[in-house]
Amino acid sequence: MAMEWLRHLFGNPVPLDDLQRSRLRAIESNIPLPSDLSGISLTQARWVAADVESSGLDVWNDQLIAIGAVVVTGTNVQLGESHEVVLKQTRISSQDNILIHRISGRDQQSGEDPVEALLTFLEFVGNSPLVGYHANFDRIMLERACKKYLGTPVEKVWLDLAALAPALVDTEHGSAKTRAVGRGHPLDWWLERYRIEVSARHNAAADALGTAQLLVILLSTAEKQGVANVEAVLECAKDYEWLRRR
Amino acid sequence: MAVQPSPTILAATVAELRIHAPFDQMTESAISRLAANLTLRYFAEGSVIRSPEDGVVSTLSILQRGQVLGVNLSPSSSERPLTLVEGEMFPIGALISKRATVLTFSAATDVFCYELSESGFAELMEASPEFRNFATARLAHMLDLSRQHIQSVFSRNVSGAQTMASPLRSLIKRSPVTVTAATPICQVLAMMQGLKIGSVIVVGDSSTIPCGIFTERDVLARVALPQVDQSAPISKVMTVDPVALPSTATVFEAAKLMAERRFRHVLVTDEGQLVGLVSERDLFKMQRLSLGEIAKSIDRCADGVSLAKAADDVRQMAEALVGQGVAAEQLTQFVTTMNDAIVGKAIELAAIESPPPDINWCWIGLGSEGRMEQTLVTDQDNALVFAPAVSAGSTEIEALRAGFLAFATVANRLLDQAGFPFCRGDIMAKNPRWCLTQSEWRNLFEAWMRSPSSPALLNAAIFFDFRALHGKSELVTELRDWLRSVAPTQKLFLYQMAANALQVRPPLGLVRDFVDADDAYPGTIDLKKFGTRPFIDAARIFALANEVSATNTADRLRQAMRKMRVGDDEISAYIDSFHFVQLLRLRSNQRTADTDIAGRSALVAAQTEPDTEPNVHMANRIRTDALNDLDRRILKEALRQARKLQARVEMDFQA
Repeated sequence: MAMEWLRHLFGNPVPLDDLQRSRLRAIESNIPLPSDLSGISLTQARWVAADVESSGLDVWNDQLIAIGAVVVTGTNVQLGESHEVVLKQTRISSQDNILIHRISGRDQQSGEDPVEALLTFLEFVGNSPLVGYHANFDRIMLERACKKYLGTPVEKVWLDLAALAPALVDTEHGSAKTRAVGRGHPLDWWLERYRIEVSARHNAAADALGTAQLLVILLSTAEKQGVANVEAVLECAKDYEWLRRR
Repeated sequence: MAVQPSPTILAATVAELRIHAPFDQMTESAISRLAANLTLRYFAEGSVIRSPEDGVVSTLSILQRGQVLGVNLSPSSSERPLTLVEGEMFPIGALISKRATVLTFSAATDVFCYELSESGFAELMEASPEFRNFATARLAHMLDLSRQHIQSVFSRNVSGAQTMASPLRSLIKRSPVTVTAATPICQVLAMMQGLKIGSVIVVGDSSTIPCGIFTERDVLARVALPQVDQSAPISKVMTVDPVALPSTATVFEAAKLMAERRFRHVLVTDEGQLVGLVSERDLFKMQRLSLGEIAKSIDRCADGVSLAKAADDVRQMAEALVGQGVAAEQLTQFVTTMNDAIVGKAIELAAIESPPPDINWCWIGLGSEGRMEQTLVTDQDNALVFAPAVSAGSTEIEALRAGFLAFATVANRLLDQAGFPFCRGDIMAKNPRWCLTQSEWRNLFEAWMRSPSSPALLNAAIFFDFRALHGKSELVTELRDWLRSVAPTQKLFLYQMAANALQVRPPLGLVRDFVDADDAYPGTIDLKKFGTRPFIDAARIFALANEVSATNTADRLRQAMRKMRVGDDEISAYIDSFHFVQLLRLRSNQRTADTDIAGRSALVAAQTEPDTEPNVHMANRIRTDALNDLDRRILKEALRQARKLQARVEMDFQA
């Protein structure tokens, strides 16, 4: 009961029912350890490329509106193993915002129940690492939504392609080690470089599909450079991130 | 986890598939089902996608982007690598017959392939008849079928069953009258009189194989006037070895042959055996203008005015032929043959008005005229070569040049009067830059190839299609022989030319990609820029690189690509595609008011365009939505072939 009360305090409008609670427990017990990930070779690895749309760019105050995701195994993008969902909104986002992702007010209001939507998405992800471009934004948005609706942020393993890509591929700034690092290139730069066409930019699912294609190119590059398992790929991105921050 | 696949991702996949045949024909439910079954797989450049060692094929690959090479690696094979481009599927044959592939498929660039499992493939073959037909019928057949369809559409639209595209067989009304070679002349004359026939065919004494022909007209010139003894055998006065065509040849071919060689009769023989005789009069019945009449009227022209009249007849004739469904290759040949005659006549007339210096010279046709691919709308592209004595000094050469320039100025003016407007880029023989001695031409060509700047490349694209039109053709042949031997060594030039040719990419799809974003004419496609030019450019590069002298695009592709050991089927597919686009161009070039002809609805209303040169701009444009479904499909296929050809250029000439 104390838990329910706490959830109310953090703004969860509707408490979870028994089934939802057991689903959440199953999800939470399914977080992989680094040692698990080092045992998975890149040819067998399963990833979930994901992208979110939100009511704005303020990662701490804006609301999660939509999630799009597609599974990658090895160097295969599994087009049929994909997912997209719009979360039911209590407040419709601004007109300017709607013009970006094109999810209308009506669609926002008739979206899925957020609890069900998040649980289904997390089950879809399973114990696979999530992959995004500037992934911190997607990660925090999702964790905040999980915190709000499920009572816990449900932390997943994430891979940020904005860090992995420049770590593996020379850009015009020079070699991977010596290049001056700033915020790096935007996703569009990489999409253009690899001639990846995205049917509708700023649609979560379409962007996820673009991200997935960039991912398989990078995984293949990583493998050539001797980066052989999932853990090593994650480390590679983290190292670059650390270097960039310095 | 029974989540529904993302509708956005499936829709994006469907949209990409829809660009290509046969997916553009599939039902929505079949293609959605297919999309959900697909994976999109990445292959880094150089990696092997599928090889014979993989055993029985269990996956269908659809190339989403990049290029794939199919190579037969067995030591005994001499097959050329197969280039696959976006939208192509492989290895269909192996998948259907449940065997390993013969070819090794590898990624020539970074590649993404849609992959479909064996069970997904089986499901698709079951669910979609469009896909099944496509997978089982070979691609080339599609073009064949379509062409037959076009011809039948055309035939239906022309009143009466006969068209210029009909076989000669259909014109033969009765078996021809023959006499043996030994028959006395008087007997033959009596027979012609009695049977009221204008001609007899002479056969060998003990065979039915024709060896000559004797006609009414010959009586006066060969019998009556020379007072030949009428008891002499007919073989003494007949025309020996008359021209013959097989019964499957078209009426048009017969007409063209007669026009070119000034004959009035053509024998029809099958495997040497006489089947019939077709006279000019038989052909004449079919149309108001006869090819032979035009050729003769050109011969008779005595000034610019009558030449203009003859040129107009040629245009009218060509338009009529387009309406009758004559194939593009024959049509452009006809236009070229007739235009050559007009140019020849204009030059003869110019030589009377302003005689050229009395040394060897030759008039040169360039661009489409050089390639023998003129359509109905055409302006002048010509030049001149002359051969001064080896000892001639520069003063002497300049004096000669002045003489030729005066002569060329008259010839260019006459041609302008005859309806071939002056070249806007001033590429004409009356321009001193293009009125040169052989060694000057060689130096110029050499300079272009040595430093291929963009103007040099532009010039080369026009000038390297040169062909002798009138005068001492040996001068041009020598220049061609020299270019043929030098060009293959000019690697940088060839690379630059290839890079230039690859700048224009034929669009992939008709709906989404047909029109570029900044297009001033939405909903239309420029058939010259995107349709024929890729073929012409590729053919020129291949010809130059492979010591091929031909200037005609089809000839170049055939000769050069055989040297490159490309299979005949593949070459034919390129040539057929090229001719199909030419045909569409010819149809849209047509300006008569006849609205019955298929494809005419595709014409853009050029007159309403507020453009300064509406005809030049619009003549090569057609509205894609006004094409019938079949034409649209073939055009897509033809453009795909153009891309494929470009891929080949890219592969062979990567800097």
